[in-house]
Amino acid sequence: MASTPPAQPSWDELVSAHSERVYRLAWRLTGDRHDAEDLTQEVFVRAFRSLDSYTPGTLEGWLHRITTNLFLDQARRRQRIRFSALTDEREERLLSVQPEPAESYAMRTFDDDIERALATLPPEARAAVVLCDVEGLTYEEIAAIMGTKLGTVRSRIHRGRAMLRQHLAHRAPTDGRLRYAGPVDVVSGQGGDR
Amino acid sequence: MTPPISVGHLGSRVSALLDGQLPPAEEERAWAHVQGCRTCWSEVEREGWVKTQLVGFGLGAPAPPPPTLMSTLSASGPSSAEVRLMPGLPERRPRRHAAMVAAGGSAMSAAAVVGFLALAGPAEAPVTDRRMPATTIVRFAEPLLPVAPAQTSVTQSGVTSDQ
Repeated sequence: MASTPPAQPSWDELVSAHSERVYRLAWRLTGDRHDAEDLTQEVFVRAFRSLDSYTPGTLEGWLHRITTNLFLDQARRRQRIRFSALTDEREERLLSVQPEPAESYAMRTFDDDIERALATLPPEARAAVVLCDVEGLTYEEIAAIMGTKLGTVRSRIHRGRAMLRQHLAHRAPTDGRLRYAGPVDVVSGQGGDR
Repeated sequence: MTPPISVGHLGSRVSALLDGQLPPAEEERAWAHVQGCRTCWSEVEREGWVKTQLVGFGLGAPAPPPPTLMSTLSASGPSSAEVRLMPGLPERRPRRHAAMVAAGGSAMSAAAVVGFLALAGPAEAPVTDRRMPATTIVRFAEPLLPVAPAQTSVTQSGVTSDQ
């Protein structure tokens, strides 16, 4: 006798409704398509295991929290082993000037210099900036997600933007140049001003 | 014009000011300070520029999740399991950017934001830099200006005193 309440979404419906947003956040936090896929999988595994502890609120906020905290856990682990071969390989991939064919779509649709600049930030500052400026969350929402005080959120955002300003200096309008000057030359660190 | 220094230099409060995250009274004081403080004005201008870049970045559509990931995710929960959630999926929240300035509220903040954006000047600022925030801010700011000429002169004096 099947009596499934129609209002309760199935797992497939949940995945279908939220995976794209989780994946997008994961990509912007990790800065890497492959890492974003891995992180998204982990988020949904964690979400499924934690459904019992889910308390009414926005499901989206809950998934944001899981995604951000899993990212921060991973990023902190990576910082501890940052000289490992695996991390070097990943950093090389992030900084690669020539995109692999499979990544060409991403390179066309993302501002890859911003992505690279974000990748240089400490994970906490990166998460705060992405949640604020890319995801459009309030400081209160970010504080709840990251488990910090409002003042900490503010200083992380401020610090992150100050660092980004240096990395994105090639975009800034300057005398005699009105428009975006192209991505930073990774080798020389100079802007692509021609 | 004597700088109305009722608050010290803004420091990291510049971020909160740009993000519309200060309480109304503090925001009013902060904008008044920015109007007369060259250091903070520059900081607001520079950080605002970075924020504009990031917001523009956020508006870009990233690639959708690959189909293989979708199937993996679907398989990560037993297909027969019904998820015990609130009835119906929550709706997506509207992005906060559109309401950022409306939340600011006061005439002075609105004038200051408009003045701040005007500082860059159409000849200097890249088109893509100003598109989203500038349009939004102007749209919300205009109805909030009860005494437009007076506010404009305040803004202009802030700009000219900086040059």
